[in-house]
Amino acid sequence: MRDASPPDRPSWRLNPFAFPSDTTSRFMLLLLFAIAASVLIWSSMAVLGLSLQAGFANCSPDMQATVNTVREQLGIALQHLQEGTAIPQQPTVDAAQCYRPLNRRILPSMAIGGGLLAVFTLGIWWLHPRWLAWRMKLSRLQKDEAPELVDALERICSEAGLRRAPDFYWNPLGMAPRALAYGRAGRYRLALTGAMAMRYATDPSRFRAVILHELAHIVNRDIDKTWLAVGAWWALVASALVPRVALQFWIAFRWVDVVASVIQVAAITGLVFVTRNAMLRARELYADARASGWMADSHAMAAALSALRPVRGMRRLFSPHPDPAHRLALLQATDPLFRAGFWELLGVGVATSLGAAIIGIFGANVGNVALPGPGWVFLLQLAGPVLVITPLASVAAGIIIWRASFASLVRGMQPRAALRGGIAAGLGTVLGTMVAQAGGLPLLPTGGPSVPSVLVAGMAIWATLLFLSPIMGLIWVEAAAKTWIPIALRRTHPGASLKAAVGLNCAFTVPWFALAGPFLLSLAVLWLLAPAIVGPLLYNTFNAFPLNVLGALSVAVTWSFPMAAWLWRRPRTPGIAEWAFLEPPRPALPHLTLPLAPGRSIGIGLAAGMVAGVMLGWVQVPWAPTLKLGVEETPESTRFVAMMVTAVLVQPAVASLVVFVVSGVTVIQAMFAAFVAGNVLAIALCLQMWEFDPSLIVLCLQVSYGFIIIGGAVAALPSALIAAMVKAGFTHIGSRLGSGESTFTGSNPT
Amino acid sequence: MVDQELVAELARDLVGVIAPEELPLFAAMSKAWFADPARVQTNQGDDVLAFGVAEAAALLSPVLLAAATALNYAGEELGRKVARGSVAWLREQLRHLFHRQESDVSLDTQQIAKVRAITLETARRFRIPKEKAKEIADAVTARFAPTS
Repeated sequence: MRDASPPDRPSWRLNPFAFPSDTTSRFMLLLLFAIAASVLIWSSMAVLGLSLQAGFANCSPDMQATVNTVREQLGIALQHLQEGTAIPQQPTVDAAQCYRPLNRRILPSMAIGGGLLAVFTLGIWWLHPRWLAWRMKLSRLQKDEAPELVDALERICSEAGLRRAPDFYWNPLGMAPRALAYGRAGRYRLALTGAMAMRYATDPSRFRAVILHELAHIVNRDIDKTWLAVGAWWALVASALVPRVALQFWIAFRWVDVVASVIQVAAITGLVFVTRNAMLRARELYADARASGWMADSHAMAAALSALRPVRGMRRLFSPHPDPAHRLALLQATDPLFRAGFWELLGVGVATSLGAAIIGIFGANVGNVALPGPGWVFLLQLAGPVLVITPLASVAAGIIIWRASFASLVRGMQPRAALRGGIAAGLGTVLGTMVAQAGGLPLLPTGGPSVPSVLVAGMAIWATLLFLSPIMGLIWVEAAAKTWIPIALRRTHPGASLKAAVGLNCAFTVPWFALAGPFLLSLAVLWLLAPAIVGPLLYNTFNAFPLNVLGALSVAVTWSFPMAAWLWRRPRTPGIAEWAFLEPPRPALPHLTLPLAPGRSIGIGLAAGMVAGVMLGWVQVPWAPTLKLGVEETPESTRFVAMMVTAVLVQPAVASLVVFVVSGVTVIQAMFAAFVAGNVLAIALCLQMWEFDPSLIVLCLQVSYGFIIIGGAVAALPSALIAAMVKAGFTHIGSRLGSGESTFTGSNPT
Repeated sequence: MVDQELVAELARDLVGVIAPEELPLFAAMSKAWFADPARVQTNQGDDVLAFGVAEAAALLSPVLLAAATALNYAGEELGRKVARGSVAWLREQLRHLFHRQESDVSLDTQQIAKVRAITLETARRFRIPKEKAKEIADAVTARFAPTS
């Protein structure tokens, strides 16, 4: 009998380099925040500094009256749309015309902001070696100055396996012990003070630990990111904050301007600062992990870290250095590097909505000046975030969840980061939207007609969807990680397949972050405005080619991508997962078994589909049809609709059943079984039609397939989730009563 | 009066007593010191990126090089007192003095106190802890105290 206990924490350190590190995701966040901050500050400077009134001078002498008229017209139009009556033609105010002069002024301002930020950031990155040489009073360390020191450094570089050793610089009269790796674009340097250099002779093991830590920064490729991050912060201060403060002394004083500016500027620059320091802290932790992996014993590293200054209290959030106690703990277990941090995912959410806001502002300004109509502007505002921001957010959040799932699975625990992480990301998206809109506060006129209630309800629904969308997306990412990682852990090296899986998973998450929100928002607003057309519209959408095929394919991806891991289950070289642990000896992972059993899911899906398919012939319609799906209401068509609805409703029942019958990743397998049952039912339904007229079978599939498959999946997902929660509850009670199963298990591969 | 060679010699002597672990790099440090004494950096600083150990100034060679310039004072004082003799002769006598060898010159108690004050002031400028500063001052003044 195999020992099925997972490896314990202190003995086996997880390899934090198995997946992309937090340093990269935090760096990307930082760049996004810096760009957002600069563009928002410069666009608000354009509005305040150039006077909004000037933009309206061409069409209305009174800006307040213009805004109120536009708002009134919008309210009347929405009311008529709700009542289904024609919108009365009124002399309209061409708001776009009014805004155009303003747009022409904002655009160059945004370009200046973005340009200055880029130039300053790149300038600091490019010039920092010179600046450091001046500040630390460095000179090139020549071999004849200190031959033994240079030999020691070269020896340590070869231990680190560097292809190219850095150039050594020093200040022999630097009295505080300091070491620093810096440089740019592959040409790196290692700087030492005299106090640090001296330790090669007095304390060689600590000296080696410190130098290896610095070399680890080079191997981890974080030097350029670091100096770009440092540059981005100072560039933002110089190119946006200083001009913004200066502008305040120049324009007329209004409390509302000052308050709005302080809120916006403080929030986004605070975000940039905190993110920069979070990135700098992350890079130190990864350098420690890398360096300690190179060292045979961690005592020297522990001694070096123990000598660092403690970082306590709130300083932990703002300091660029992690607390030494935290760093020391990583020498025992790297698990904290795999946690899906609440604040980090909140940051991802904020970055997503801030990024979308920038593109929105940019799109509105460019569109009103250069594009032919509002439709194009809307398209640009929608497509920009989908193509640029959402993929970044998906990758950042997705990798965080993969890392957390990896650590949980190796340690024999159920991954549970997605819900908490999704809530954080969801809150972040809502918060980011609020921050982005804070700059618009000065534009809110007082008095006049109120904003139409339908619009307020639409915005509330929008906020709810923004909140829910990342939760759903990350839960799905976690489900995929739960199937792929146990299978990858059966191999000595995961190879390209795991990387491809992570990449594909992140790519597939884009729709959750990008498309699900706007699509559901449109539906919700439509339902508020004109509920009567929602049903037929949905039906027609999901049954029109190619949307019916694409919709069914999208549904299939939700289960097929996680299930695809099963095809990869037999390793060519089965063995211990060397890639999962930082240093030898690596343990076996007997507690991990296959998380999928597609045979059972297929069997249940086929059986349930066939039984229900035969029974479709007995479906009766006990009530008058009220679905209004846009088909002619004859007794035959009504019965056909009833059969389709039955075929949809069978699928959640199948999904619930599968959750209780199979083990491993149950919800994904339940979705798969529901899909199998849905296909059987769609065929069975059309075979019933075939009895009446064989020529109807193709038409039947065309009009019913999309509805049955997509509708069935939409119903099966919540059903499977509820069943999984009930099952988990039973398991929990069972384990409390003594049949404890604390480790993550699935079906036995044999 | 007092050249770099003599200062370096005294400083090396002091390093050998107070911080012998710094001797392997002393030559490089003294060369850097004489080239540009402004390169000395005492700051513990709030380095954003460096691996910085939270220790007080851990290098004594620059302090001892600076303290050794107390020789300038001693040289001037002795030069005033001793009318005869060449500069080379005085340098030789100074060398004898701080090597605790037989010398024709000596500093009086007041002058030794002044040397001590100069040394303590130098250590304070380098933010050396008081105890260490006293140790350095003791080591320097011991070099000029009359041999009994």
